[in-house]
Amino acid sequence: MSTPCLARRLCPRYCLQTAEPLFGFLAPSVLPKRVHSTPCISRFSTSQNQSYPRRDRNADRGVSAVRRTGLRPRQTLSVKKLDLPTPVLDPSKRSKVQVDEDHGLWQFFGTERRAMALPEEVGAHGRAWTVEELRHKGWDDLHALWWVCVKERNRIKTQTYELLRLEAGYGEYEAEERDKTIRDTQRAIKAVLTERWYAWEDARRLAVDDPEVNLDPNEGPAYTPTVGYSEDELAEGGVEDNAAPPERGVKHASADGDSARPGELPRGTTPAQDAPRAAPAA
Amino acid sequence: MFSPTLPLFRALRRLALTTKRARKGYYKGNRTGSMGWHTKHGGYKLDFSKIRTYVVPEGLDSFNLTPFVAKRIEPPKGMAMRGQSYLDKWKMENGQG
Repeated sequence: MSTPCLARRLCPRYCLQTAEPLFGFLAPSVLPKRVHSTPCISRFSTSQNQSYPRRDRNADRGVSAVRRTGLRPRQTLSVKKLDLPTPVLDPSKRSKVQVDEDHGLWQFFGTERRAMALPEEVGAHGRAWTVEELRHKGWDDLHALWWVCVKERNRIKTQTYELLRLEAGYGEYEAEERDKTIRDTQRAIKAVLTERWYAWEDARRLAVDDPEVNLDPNEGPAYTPTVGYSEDELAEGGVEDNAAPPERGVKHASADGDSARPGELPRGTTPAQDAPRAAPAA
Repeated sequence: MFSPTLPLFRALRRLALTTKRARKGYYKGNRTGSMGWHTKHGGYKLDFSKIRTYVVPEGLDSFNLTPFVAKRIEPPKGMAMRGQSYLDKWKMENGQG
Protein backbone atom coordinates (compact mmCIF):
# COMPACT_ATOMS: atom_id res chain seq x y z
CA MET A 1 0.00 0.00 0.00
CA SER A 2 1.99 2.89 -1.21
CA THR A 3 -0.74 5.52 -1.06
CA PRO A 4 -0.95 5.90 2.77
CA CYS A 5 2.77 6.08 2.98
CA LEU A 6 2.86 8.81 0.47
CA ALA A 7 0.10 10.69 2.23
CA ARG A 8 1.90 10.30 5.54
CA ARG A 9 4.92 11.76 4.04
CA LEU A 10 3.05 14.68 2.47
CA CYS A 11 0.84 15.60 5.42
CA PRO A 12 2.36 14.56 8.70
CA ARG A 13 -0.20 16.40 10.96
CA TYR A 14 -3.07 14.56 9.42
CA CYS A 15 -1.33 11.31 9.93
CA LEU A 16 -0.72 12.01 13.58
CA GLN A 17 -4.39 12.81 14.27
CA THR A 18 -5.72 9.77 12.51
CA ALA A 19 -3.18 7.42 13.94
CA GLU A 20 -4.08 8.10 17.57
CA PRO A 21 -7.50 6.37 17.73
CA LEU A 22 -6.09 3.58 15.69
CA PHE A 23 -3.35 2.91 18.19
CA GLY A 24 -5.71 3.45 21.07
CA PHE A 25 -7.99 0.76 19.88
CA LEU A 26 -5.19 -1.64 19.34
CA ALA A 27 -3.10 -0.86 22.39
CA PRO A 28 -4.58 1.49 25.01
CA SER A 29 -1.36 1.66 26.93
CA VAL A 30 0.26 3.48 24.09
CA LEU A 31 -2.11 6.41 24.49
CA PRO A 32 -0.87 9.35 26.46
CA LYS A 33 -2.67 9.76 29.74
CA ARG A 34 -5.16 12.67 29.69
CA VAL A 35 -4.69 14.71 32.78
CA HIS A 36 -6.79 17.86 33.22
CA SER A 37 -5.89 20.24 35.95
CA THR A 38 -9.30 22.08 35.74
CA PRO A 39 -12.75 20.42 35.30
CA CYS A 40 -13.93 20.35 31.77
CA ILE A 41 -16.87 22.80 32.04
CA SER A 42 -17.76 25.24 29.41
CA ARG A 43 -18.02 28.88 30.31
CA PHE A 44 -21.75 29.08 29.46
CA SER A 45 -24.20 26.24 29.69
CA THR A 46 -27.99 26.10 29.84
CA SER A 47 -28.09 22.63 31.30
CA GLN A 48 -28.45 22.17 34.97
CA ASN A 49 -25.63 21.42 37.24
CA GLN A 50 -25.55 17.71 37.67
CA SER A 51 -24.26 17.79 41.18
CA TYR A 52 -27.29 17.63 43.51
CA PRO A 53 -27.07 18.87 47.06
CA ARG A 54 -27.83 16.43 49.77
CA ARG A 55 -31.10 18.18 50.80
CA ASP A 56 -33.26 20.59 48.88
CA ARG A 57 -34.64 23.71 50.49
CA ASN A 58 -38.24 22.55 50.53
CA ALA A 59 -39.43 22.87 54.10
CA ASP A 60 -42.40 20.62 53.48
CA ARG A 61 -40.33 17.76 52.10
CA GLY A 62 -41.75 14.51 53.33
CA VAL A 63 -45.01 15.96 54.62
CA SER A 64 -47.78 13.95 53.06
CA ALA A 65 -51.49 13.74 53.71
CA VAL A 66 -51.63 10.39 51.99
CA ARG A 67 -49.07 8.81 54.24
CA ARG A 68 -50.54 10.64 57.24
CA THR A 69 -47.26 12.06 58.33
CA GLY A 70 -48.91 14.94 60.09
CA LEU A 71 -47.70 18.47 60.16
CA ARG A 72 -44.08 19.23 60.36
CA PRO A 73 -42.86 21.19 63.38
CA ARG A 74 -43.86 24.84 63.41
CA GLN A 75 -46.06 24.39 60.34
CA THR A 76 -48.99 26.84 60.17
CA LEU A 77 -52.14 26.35 58.13
CA SER A 78 -54.66 28.83 56.78
CA VAL A 79 -57.40 27.29 58.90
CA LYS A 80 -57.21 27.01 62.62
CA LYS A 81 -58.76 24.26 64.58
CA LEU A 82 -60.40 26.68 66.95
CA ASP A 83 -62.45 28.47 64.27
CA LEU A 84 -64.10 25.41 62.83
CA PRO A 85 -67.89 25.41 63.26
CA THR A 86 -69.37 22.60 65.19
CA PRO A 87 -72.44 20.83 63.84
CA VAL A 88 -75.71 21.31 65.66
CA LEU A 89 -76.96 17.81 66.22
CA ASP A 90 -80.20 18.85 67.87
CA PRO A 91 -82.72 19.84 65.17
CA SER A 92 -84.66 22.04 67.56
CA LYS A 93 -81.66 24.28 68.12
CA ARG A 94 -80.94 24.89 64.48
CA SER A 95 -81.70 28.30 63.06
CA LYS A 96 -84.55 28.46 60.59
CA VAL A 97 -84.03 29.50 57.00
CA GLN A 98 -85.49 32.91 56.31
CA VAL A 99 -87.95 32.76 53.40
CA ASP A 100 -90.54 35.11 52.06
CA GLU A 101 -93.95 33.99 53.18
CA ASP A 102 -95.68 35.64 50.25
CA HIS A 103 -93.36 34.42 47.55
CA GLY A 104 -94.96 33.48 44.28
CA LEU A 105 -93.25 30.12 44.18
CA TRP A 106 -95.42 29.01 47.09
CA GLN A 107 -98.15 28.57 44.53
CA PHE A 108 -96.36 25.42 43.45
CA PHE A 109 -97.36 23.90 46.77
CA GLY A 110 -100.70 23.35 48.38
CA THR A 111 -102.21 25.36 51.16
CA GLU A 112 -100.28 23.37 53.74
CA ARG A 113 -97.02 23.90 51.85
CA ARG A 114 -95.88 20.34 52.10
CA ALA A 115 -93.45 18.84 49.64
CA MET A 116 -95.59 15.76 49.18
CA ALA A 117 -99.17 14.78 49.71
CA LEU A 118 -100.71 11.52 50.72
CA PRO A 119 -101.98 9.39 47.86
CA GLU A 120 -105.44 9.43 49.43
CA GLU A 121 -105.50 13.21 49.24
CA VAL A 122 -104.23 13.28 45.69
CA GLY A 123 -106.69 10.65 44.58
CA ALA A 124 -109.70 12.38 46.15
CA HIS A 125 -111.04 14.45 43.32
CA GLY A 126 -114.15 14.71 41.22
CA ARG A 127 -114.64 14.23 37.54
CA ALA A 128 -113.60 16.60 34.82
CA TRP A 129 -115.78 19.34 33.45
CA THR A 130 -117.77 18.33 30.43
CA VAL A 131 -118.08 20.38 27.29
CA GLU A 132 -121.80 20.93 27.82
CA GLU A 133 -121.20 22.38 31.25
CA LEU A 134 -118.57 24.74 29.97
CA ARG A 135 -120.75 25.94 27.07
CA HIS A 136 -122.66 28.06 29.54
CA LYS A 137 -119.54 29.77 30.85
CA GLY A 138 -118.30 33.12 29.71
CA TRP A 139 -114.90 33.97 28.35
CA ASP A 140 -113.55 35.24 31.67
CA ASP A 141 -114.62 32.13 33.50
CA LEU A 142 -113.05 29.86 30.95
CA HIS A 143 -109.88 31.92 30.99
CA ALA A 144 -109.61 31.77 34.76
CA LEU A 145 -110.49 28.10 34.85
CA TRP A 146 -107.69 27.36 32.39
CA TRP A 147 -105.14 28.98 34.66
CA VAL A 148 -106.55 27.21 37.68
CA CYS A 149 -105.92 23.98 35.81
CA VAL A 150 -102.39 25.03 34.97
CA LYS A 151 -101.57 25.85 38.56
CA GLU A 152 -103.04 22.62 39.82
CA ARG A 153 -100.99 20.65 37.33
CA ASN A 154 -97.87 22.47 38.49
CA ARG A 155 -98.63 21.42 42.03
CA ILE A 156 -98.96 17.80 40.93
CA LYS A 157 -95.70 18.00 39.04
CA THR A 158 -93.93 19.36 42.10
CA GLN A 159 -95.21 16.58 44.29
CA THR A 160 -94.39 13.91 41.73
CA TYR A 161 -90.87 15.23 41.39
CA GLU A 162 -90.35 14.91 45.10
CA LEU A 163 -91.85 11.42 45.10
CA LEU A 164 -89.47 10.28 42.40
CA ARG A 165 -86.50 11.97 44.01
CA LEU A 166 -87.07 10.21 47.30
CA GLU A 167 -87.94 6.98 45.51
CA ALA A 168 -91.07 6.68 47.60
CA GLY A 169 -92.51 4.04 45.33
CA TYR A 170 -96.11 5.10 45.71
CA GLY A 171 -98.42 7.93 44.76
CA GLU A 172 -97.52 8.09 41.10
CA TYR A 173 -100.74 6.47 39.95
CA GLU A 174 -102.91 8.87 41.91
CA ALA A 175 -100.96 11.86 40.66
CA GLU A 176 -101.26 10.66 37.07
CA GLU A 177 -105.00 10.13 37.40
CA ARG A 178 -105.48 13.57 38.88
CA ASP A 179 -103.41 15.11 36.14
CA LYS A 180 -105.37 13.23 33.50
CA THR A 181 -108.64 14.58 34.88
CA ILE A 182 -107.36 18.13 34.73
CA ARG A 183 -106.21 17.58 31.18
CA ASP A 184 -109.74 16.48 30.29
CA THR A 185 -111.03 19.75 31.69
CA GLN A 186 -108.53 21.69 29.64
CA ARG A 187 -109.51 19.73 26.56
CA ALA A 188 -113.14 20.64 27.18
CA ILE A 189 -112.25 24.32 27.48
CA LYS A 190 -110.48 24.25 24.14
CA ALA A 191 -113.36 22.36 22.58
CA VAL A 192 -115.84 25.00 23.72
CA LEU A 193 -113.74 27.80 22.33
CA THR A 194 -113.39 25.96 19.04
CA GLU A 195 -117.14 25.44 18.86
CA ARG A 196 -117.79 29.10 19.44
CA TRP A 197 -115.40 30.17 16.80
CA TYR A 198 -116.94 27.86 14.22
CA ALA A 199 -120.44 29.01 15.20
CA TRP A 200 -119.41 32.62 14.73
CA GLU A 201 -117.69 31.85 11.44
CA ASP A 202 -120.70 29.96 10.08
CA ALA A 203 -123.03 32.74 11.19
CA ARG A 204 -120.89 35.29 9.42
CA ARG A 205 -121.01 33.29 6.20
CA LEU A 206 -124.77 33.01 6.45
CA ALA A 207 -125.05 36.72 7.14
CA VAL A 208 -123.23 37.52 3.90
CA ASP A 209 -126.09 35.98 1.91
CA ASP A 210 -128.80 37.17 4.27
CA PRO A 211 -130.66 40.18 2.86
CA GLU A 212 -131.70 41.27 6.33
CA VAL A 213 -128.13 41.64 7.56
CA ASN A 214 -125.78 44.38 6.54
CA LEU A 215 -122.15 43.63 7.42
CA ASP A 216 -120.82 47.02 6.33
CA PRO A 217 -120.91 49.35 9.31
CA ASN A 218 -120.91 52.43 7.07
CA GLU A 219 -124.17 51.56 5.36
CA GLY A 220 -127.10 51.84 7.66
CA PRO A 221 -128.21 49.50 10.41
CA ALA A 222 -126.77 46.06 10.73
CA TYR A 223 -130.08 44.30 10.91
CA THR A 224 -133.26 45.27 9.05
CA PRO A 225 -136.13 42.93 9.83
CA THR A 226 -138.21 41.79 6.92
CA VAL A 227 -141.52 43.63 6.60
CA GLY A 228 -144.47 41.48 7.49
CA TYR A 229 -143.69 40.45 11.00
CA SER A 230 -145.38 42.08 13.92
CA GLU A 231 -143.62 43.11 17.07
CA ASP A 232 -145.09 40.17 18.92
CA GLU A 233 -143.74 37.70 16.43
CA LEU A 234 -140.36 39.32 16.58
CA ALA A 235 -140.37 39.12 20.36
CA GLU A 236 -141.29 35.44 20.24
CA GLY A 237 -138.46 34.65 17.92
CA GLY A 238 -140.58 33.76 14.89
CA VAL A 239 -138.40 35.52 12.40
CA GLU A 240 -137.39 32.45 10.51
CA ASP A 241 -139.96 30.34 8.73
CA ASN A 242 -137.84 27.30 8.21
CA ALA A 243 -137.53 24.69 10.86
CA ALA A 244 -135.16 25.65 13.59
CA PRO A 245 -132.47 23.26 14.71
CA PRO A 246 -133.42 21.31 17.79
CA GLU A 247 -130.78 22.98 19.86
CA ARG A 248 -132.13 26.45 19.23
CA GLY A 249 -134.55 26.45 22.07
CA VAL A 250 -132.03 25.12 24.49
CA LYS A 251 -129.45 27.67 23.62
CA HIS A 252 -131.85 30.57 23.63
CA ALA A 253 -133.22 29.64 26.98
CA SER A 254 -129.82 29.27 28.48
CA ALA A 255 -128.55 32.65 27.45
CA ASP A 256 -131.38 35.07 28.03
CA GLY A 257 -130.34 38.55 28.91
CA ASP A 258 -127.02 38.35 27.12
CA SER A 259 -126.31 39.99 23.87
CA ALA A 260 -124.92 38.20 20.86
CA ARG A 261 -122.91 40.16 18.39
CA PRO A 262 -121.23 38.89 15.28
CA GLY A 263 -117.98 40.25 16.55
CA GLU A 264 -118.28 38.65 19.92
CA LEU A 265 -118.73 35.22 21.21
CA PRO A 266 -122.05 34.53 22.88
CA ARG A 267 -121.76 35.11 26.55
CA GLY A 268 -123.14 32.47 28.80
CA THR A 269 -125.14 33.01 31.89
CA THR A 270 -123.66 33.41 35.27
CA PRO A 271 -122.09 30.24 36.57
CA ALA A 272 -124.50 29.93 39.46
CA GLN A 273 -127.54 29.56 37.26
CA ASP A 274 -126.80 26.86 34.77
CA ALA A 275 -123.65 24.91 35.15
CA PRO A 276 -123.03 23.13 38.39
CA ARG A 277 -120.53 24.69 40.65
CA ALA A 278 -117.24 22.95 41.02
CA ALA A 279 -117.22 21.09 44.24
CA PRO A 280 -114.00 20.90 46.17
CA ALA A 281 -112.31 17.58 46.28
CA ALA A 282 -114.26 15.46 48.67
CA MET B 1 -72.46 12.69 2.41
CA PHE B 2 -71.25 9.29 3.37
CA SER B 3 -73.74 6.53 3.53
CA PRO B 4 -73.15 4.00 6.27
CA THR B 5 -72.91 0.33 5.67
CA LEU B 6 -76.11 -1.66 5.78
CA PRO B 7 -75.88 -3.09 9.32
CA LEU B 8 -74.83 0.28 10.68
CA PHE B 9 -77.61 2.00 8.81
CA ARG B 10 -80.13 -0.31 10.41
CA ALA B 11 -78.84 0.69 13.82
CA LEU B 12 -78.74 4.37 12.96
CA ARG B 13 -82.37 4.36 11.98
CA ARG B 14 -83.31 3.65 15.54
CA LEU B 15 -81.41 6.67 16.82
CA ALA B 16 -82.64 10.22 16.86
CA LEU B 17 -81.95 12.31 13.80
CA THR B 18 -79.47 15.04 14.61
CA THR B 19 -78.13 17.99 12.73
CA LYS B 20 -74.88 16.07 12.21
CA ARG B 21 -76.61 13.37 10.21
CA ALA B 22 -78.98 15.45 8.12
CA ARG B 23 -78.30 17.66 5.20
CA LYS B 24 -78.24 21.41 5.33
CA GLY B 25 -81.35 23.24 6.23
CA TYR B 26 -82.35 20.75 8.88
CA TYR B 27 -83.62 22.50 11.99
CA LYS B 28 -84.08 20.32 14.98
CA GLY B 29 -84.90 22.88 17.62
CA ASN B 30 -85.64 22.17 21.20
CA ARG B 31 -89.44 22.20 21.05
CA THR B 32 -89.65 25.78 22.16
CA GLY B 33 -90.16 27.49 18.84
CA SER B 34 -88.38 30.48 17.50
CA MET B 35 -88.65 33.99 18.88
CA GLY B 36 -87.32 35.76 15.80
CA TRP B 37 -84.80 35.19 13.08
CA HIS B 38 -81.05 35.13 12.60
CA THR B 39 -79.41 37.95 10.72
CA LYS B 40 -76.66 37.44 8.20
CA HIS B 41 -74.24 39.23 10.49
CA GLY B 42 -74.66 36.65 13.21
CA GLY B 43 -77.12 38.56 15.34
CA TYR B 44 -80.64 37.70 16.22
CA LYS B 45 -83.67 39.80 15.55
CA LEU B 46 -86.50 39.45 18.01
CA ASP B 47 -89.99 39.31 16.63
CA PHE B 48 -92.33 40.44 19.35
CA SER B 49 -95.28 38.86 17.62
CA LYS B 50 -93.56 35.52 18.14
CA ILE B 51 -92.65 36.05 21.78
CA ARG B 52 -95.00 34.28 24.11
CA THR B 53 -97.10 36.47 26.31
CA TYR B 54 -99.15 34.79 28.96
CA VAL B 55 -102.13 36.81 30.07
CA VAL B 56 -103.18 35.78 33.52
CA PRO B 57 -106.77 36.84 34.25
CA GLU B 58 -107.41 39.28 37.02
CA GLY B 59 -109.05 38.05 40.14
CA LEU B 60 -107.59 34.60 39.86
CA ASP B 61 -107.13 34.39 43.61
CA SER B 62 -110.81 34.95 44.25
CA PHE B 63 -111.88 32.54 41.54
CA ASN B 64 -113.94 29.78 43.08
CA LEU B 65 -114.08 27.12 40.41
CA THR B 66 -111.75 24.16 40.52
CA PRO B 67 -110.69 21.84 37.72
CA PHE B 68 -113.02 19.19 39.12
CA VAL B 69 -116.75 18.71 39.38
CA ALA B 70 -118.31 16.49 42.01
CA LYS B 71 -118.96 13.02 40.68
CA ARG B 72 -122.52 12.97 41.95
CA ILE B 73 -123.49 15.71 39.52
CA GLU B 74 -124.87 14.23 36.34
CA PRO B 75 -123.31 15.80 33.26
CA PRO B 76 -126.05 17.55 31.27
CA LYS B 77 -126.67 16.83 27.64
CA GLY B 78 -126.70 19.34 24.88
CA MET B 79 -125.35 20.20 21.49
CA ALA B 80 -123.11 22.88 20.17
CA MET B 81 -124.53 26.05 18.68
CA ARG B 82 -124.53 26.12 14.90
CA GLY B 83 -124.18 29.08 12.65
CA GLN B 84 -127.87 29.40 11.85
CA SER B 85 -128.94 29.37 15.48
CA TYR B 86 -126.21 31.86 16.24
CA LEU B 87 -127.53 34.19 13.59
CA ASP B 88 -131.12 33.78 14.77
CA LYS B 89 -130.14 34.51 18.32
CA TRP B 90 -128.24 37.57 17.24
CA LYS B 91 -131.28 38.82 15.37
CA MET B 92 -133.54 38.21 18.31
CA GLU B 93 -131.44 39.63 21.06
CA ASN B 94 -129.29 42.32 19.58
CA GLY B 95 -129.23 42.87 15.87
CA GLN B 96 -127.39 46.14 16.22
CA GLY B 97 -123.65 45.83 16.20
